[in-house]
Formats: sequence, C-alpha cells, structure tokens
Amino acid sequence: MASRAEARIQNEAKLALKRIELSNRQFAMLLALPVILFLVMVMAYPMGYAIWLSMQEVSFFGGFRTSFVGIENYREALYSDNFWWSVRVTVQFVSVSVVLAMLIGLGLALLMHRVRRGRALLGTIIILPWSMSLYGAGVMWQYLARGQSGVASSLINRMLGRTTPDTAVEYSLISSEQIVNLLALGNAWNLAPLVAFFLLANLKTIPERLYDLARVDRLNIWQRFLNVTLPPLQYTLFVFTTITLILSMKLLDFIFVMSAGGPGDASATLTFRLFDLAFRQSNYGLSAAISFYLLFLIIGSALALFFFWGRRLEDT
Amino acid sequence: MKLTYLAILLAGTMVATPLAVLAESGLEPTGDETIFFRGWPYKPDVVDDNVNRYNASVDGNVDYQTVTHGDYPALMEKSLIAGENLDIIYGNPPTAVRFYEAGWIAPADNVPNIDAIRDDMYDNASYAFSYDGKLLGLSYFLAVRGMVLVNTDRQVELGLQDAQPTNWDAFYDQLLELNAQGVKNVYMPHWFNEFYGISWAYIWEVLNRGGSQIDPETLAPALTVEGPAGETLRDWKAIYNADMVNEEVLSFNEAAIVDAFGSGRFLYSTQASYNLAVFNDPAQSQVAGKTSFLGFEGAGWGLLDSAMYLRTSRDRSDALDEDTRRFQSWYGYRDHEGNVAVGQRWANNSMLFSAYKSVMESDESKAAFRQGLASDEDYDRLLTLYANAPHPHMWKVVWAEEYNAFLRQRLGRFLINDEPVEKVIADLNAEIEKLNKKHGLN
Repeated sequence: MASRAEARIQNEAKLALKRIELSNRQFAMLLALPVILFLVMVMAYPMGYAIWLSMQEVSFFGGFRTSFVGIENYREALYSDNFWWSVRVTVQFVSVSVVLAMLIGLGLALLMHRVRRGRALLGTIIILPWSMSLYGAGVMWQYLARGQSGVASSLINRMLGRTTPDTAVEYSLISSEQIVNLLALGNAWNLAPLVAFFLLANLKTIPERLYDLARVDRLNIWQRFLNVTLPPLQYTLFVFTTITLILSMKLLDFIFVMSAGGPGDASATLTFRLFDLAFRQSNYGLSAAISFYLLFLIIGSALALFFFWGRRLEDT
Repeated sequence: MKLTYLAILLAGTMVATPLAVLAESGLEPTGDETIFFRGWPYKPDVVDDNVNRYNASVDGNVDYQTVTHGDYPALMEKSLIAGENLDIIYGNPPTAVRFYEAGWIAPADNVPNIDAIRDDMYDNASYAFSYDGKLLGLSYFLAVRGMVLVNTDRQVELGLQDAQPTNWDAFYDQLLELNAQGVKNVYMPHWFNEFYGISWAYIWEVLNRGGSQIDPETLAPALTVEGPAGETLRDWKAIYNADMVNEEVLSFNEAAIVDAFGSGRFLYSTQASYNLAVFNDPAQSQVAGKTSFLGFEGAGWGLLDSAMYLRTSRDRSDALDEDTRRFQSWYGYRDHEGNVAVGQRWANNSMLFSAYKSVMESDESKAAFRQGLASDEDYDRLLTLYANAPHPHMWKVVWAEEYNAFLRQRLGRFLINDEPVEKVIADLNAEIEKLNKKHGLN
C-alpha cells in the first residue's frame, strides 16, 4: 500500500517536473525575449514611419508636404519593369554571393585546419578582406576589373591574345553580362573569411579518432570529407548561409562604389534601386514601398532556408 | 631724430594703407562665428588656399571641406533636408533652382557689390544663374560641355582635316562610314555614369538638333520619335550596335573618359572645354598640342555648363548672415583688394570660364586660354562655340534633377538591351508627365 502511494507521489512529481521543463525552442525564445523586446522598441518608430511613408507622396518643394496615396506605391512597384529587373538582379547576385562565400569560406577553413606551420600568419592574411571597408573594397575591385587599366581584365586580354593598344580594351570584366557575377565574387571575397573562421572553430571540435576510424574503414579523402567532416559542420553552414544571404540582400555600399548599378542598370539590385529612387529621384514613397518588398524577400528567403534545411537539422 | 620720425611715419603708412583698403572694402567679417563652406572635390587644394587667404587677410573664420565623391546634388540635398550647418555651397543651375524652390538657398541679390556684379556679368551667365527674376548665386565657373574634341594627328592620318562634320547628323554619318572602312577607336562619347554624364549628353544633343525635352511654356513633354529626340537615340543605337563604343563607358566616371582620350587612341571625344588644358598639356596627355575641336558652323555642340556659389537660407544670427554675404561676394566676385582673384585663378590654372567680363577679357585669361589650346585660331573658335552654347530650359524646372537621374539609367538600359526608340521616348514622356503631376505643374 505504502509503495503504491510512493509510486503515485513519484509519478506526480515527475509530471510536475515535466510541466515546467522547457523545450529547446522555448528555452531559446526565453533567452532571446529581452533582445527581441529591445529590438521592437528600437525599431518600432522607424518601421512605423517607413510604413506611413510608403503610403504617401512626399514633396519638399513649396514646403514639406505629404499626401496619402494608400497602396498606390506598392502597386506602382509591382507594375514597374525596373522593379522586376532589380528583383532578378538581386536574386542572381545573392545566389552567386552565397554559394561563393560558403565554398570559399569552407575551403579557407579546411586550409587553416590542415596547415601546421605559419597558421597565425595565414589566419591574419585570410581575415584581411573581411576587415576592409566595403568602400575600399569597391574601389579596389573596380581598379582590378577596369578594361583599360584593370589587372584582371588585362590578364584576360593577354590570355585571349589581345595585347595591342587597339584590341586590349575589347574585353572588360565590367560588362552587363559579367558585372553581377563580379560583384558577387567581390562580396564573397569580403564575407568568406568570417565564414571560414567560424567553420574552423567547428572543425576543431571534430575528434581526430573519427578520422582514424575512417582510415581503418579505408574511406578515401572525399568520403572522409563527406562522412566525417561535413556532418558536424552542417549547422554552422546553415547559420552562415542565412547570414550571408541576409547581408548580401541588403548590401549597397560595395555595389554603389564598384558599379553604381551599371553599366546602365545592369547591376541595379533592389537596394540600389531604392537608394536611387529615394536619394536621386526624391521618390520617398515608392522607395519605402520597395524597401518592404525587399524586407519580405529577406524574411521569405530566410524562412524558406529554415523550412527546407534548418528544420531538418533541428529534427536530427 | 628726423629720420626716426620719418621711419615711424613710413611704417605707420605701410600698416595703415591695407587697413584703410580693408575698411573701405566692406568685406571684412563683423563677428567671429564660423562660416561653413562645402563643395565637390575639384582641386580642393586650390580652394583651400583661397579660403586660407581670405581667413588670413581679413581675419575670417571660414571652414572649408569637400563633400565625398558621389552624386553631389543628391548628397547635398540630403544634407540640407537634415538641416546641417551649411552656409556657402557649390551648385549647378538645375540644383540651384531646386534648392531655391525648396527654400534652402537665398538669392544673391543682396550681397555687397551686387550692382558691380550685375554690370560685370555676361548675359548668358546671368540667364543661367537666374530664376524667377532672382540671381541665385555668384560665378564659380562656366564651360562648354559636349564639344567634340579632335585628335588632329589621327585626323590627318585618316585624311579628314577637310571633312569636318558641321552638325550631329553629319558627325554620326562620318563615324559609321569610318567604321565601315574598318577604322577602330573613332569616338569616345560622354556616356559616363555620373549625374552630368550620359543624361546631359542626351539633353544637349536634342537641344543642338533644335529639339527640347519639354515645352518651355507648358512644361509638357516634347520628345517625339521622328524629331530630334528620336534621331539622337537612333544615332546612338547605330554606333553602339556597330561595336564602336565599348559598353564599359557606361560605368566610367569623367576622369576615365579624359584618360581614354588623353591616351591618343581616339579620333573624337565629347568633353568639357576645360579639359582642353589637360589634353594640350604634355605632362598630362599623349595628345598635347594635337587636341582641337569641331567649331560652330550654324549648329551648336554641347551646352553651357556652369556652377555657382550659393548661400543657404538656414537660421543664422544677423552678424553671421552679414558675414556670409560678405564672404560670398569676396569669394564669388572681387576680394578686399578689388580683384576677381578666385575667378581669375580658375581661369589661369584650370581654363574655367567666368561669368565676369573683367576675367574673361583680361590679358591674363587670354594668355592662359591660348596656352590650353592647340593653335591660336582655336581661341576665337572656342569663344564662338561658347557664345552659342545653350542653357537647357529644362534646368529652370524644379524636377530637372529627378528627371536627370531617371534619364541616366534609362538611356544605359536602352543601349545595353537594344530597346526600341519608341519605347524609350514613351517612357521619357511618361516620366515628365509624372514629374509635372508630382510637383503640381501641369
């Protein structure tokens, strides 16, 4: 009788414990709550102002005045060829940037992990692109890619046998066909070191004995990479894919300095388009509306990434 | 003893004379508040030196800095919206009109020596600098932008010295003919990616062909497919599609097209007149002494490019407001010694034209301009071209800068994507209508 009562008490205690035990997600949310509250407080006014602005037509002439236009700016954006062109450019730029940043970052991390001598010097050299201002990086990449005097363009011209003054400028990396990929490469060059160092930290946590066991199982280098190295890196890769995706989508300064959205509007990403509309054409309402489409694109892409990749990682 | 008195008298006179001049000039500051002077970064060392001279000679307190590289009108507009402390700023006429309409700048009609300034100013400059019957600012520079420079060595080599085009139609015909003959590097156009690049090139070519972007009276769009606007686009498309212009030009800045023509590779290039001094300088170019230009033969080449020193209308103390007007007059016209020192210096060193007869007609300027030219005959030809350079009426409209930004991207896309002329003309007209509606002008 007594043992039954004890069992019941133990059972109730277990249930009570279960009731207050938080899931990982709940615990994470609890930890993040103060930050989220702070961000909401800090962002509420600018966000509210941007929503209001996106429904106005603004003029500074004849005195500051605004007139309510409802969702006209959102509609105008959707019917604009320029907007859809910029969406296309943004998608291409971000896709290439993310793939390159992750591949280069992973490559650099593996290199730093394997190198035994001069690791500190190598790490210093690798971090340099990330520590450079995007303005400076834009100037440097522009000089590299220029047709008349750019080192990279000159090398390509030499490889193509175009070395006389008349023909040397025929190939330039700053062309409507190449500019978005070139910008993405520059962006990846800037972001990859950050990815590399976080992946390196992750690589250090993989026990060496797993590699020994893989050798015993006669796995080749590629199989070892796929089955031993890559699985523990997946979560870091997911996080940094998301980070580079978001950073690339909201990048402006590098694009502004290197190509200014050109040639023509060949590299006019959404960020460049809304800069142009707001700061050059003083079309603040339309620019604010496009900024919300950009926000939806960022949130949508991040959620899609989580849905198709992150959620599976969480489940495993 | 007598000698001592004489020495004291002489020393006193030496000190008193400049003070007397200064006292009479009415340009010395009345207080010690700082005047903030901002401009784009063209030869900032020269500007800094001018400002230092002002500060040293009249005990002034002017703080000069450049605005970082970029779209100057847009950057300056945002600074003014943000209410930054700015007193004297650079501005082109369309920028000045826009800032005036927004209430950010004050007219220059009440600066010291205004009557002398008006008397000394040429009519074309006065027209360019005025809006709504008011003089918006004082002369920084004037130039012809869009004149067609000629590399005379290549001209002789191709046997074209007696076949100079007299208008844009003939010019493009000749380009296409040379291209058909297999001649490379014929033309470096003014299609660079700055606010005064490809969009201004379109504005002047339409003007030079007798057209206009808008009706001057009603401000309604005036671009037609069959008229000068359409002809210009067809000519551009023809040379672009014939691979006569490298696409990279669309991402150049002005320095890059100057470098390109200065390399000596090109026969023709549309440039600003002040760059003649660069091209004809052996230290800076491969075409020194060989850079001439197509002259005025009844049809213009380019437009009247100009800039002013504008005074902002921010809240200031009465003393600072007075000092700002005095500095504007000192810097934009005559200094405390009665010389148009700043304007003359730009003419001497940089071949920048001035709004003032006293600068343009001085022996110093004539000698300096001649030095920047390939031959003596070019001097009169240049002045004739300058006298016939039009000031676009569109620049008297508040939305000119907004249209300019739209035009810049639209024209680049037209060339790259080989779009139909009809579509571009329709888009430009629609944009003008939209801007008129936005600003309540139509």
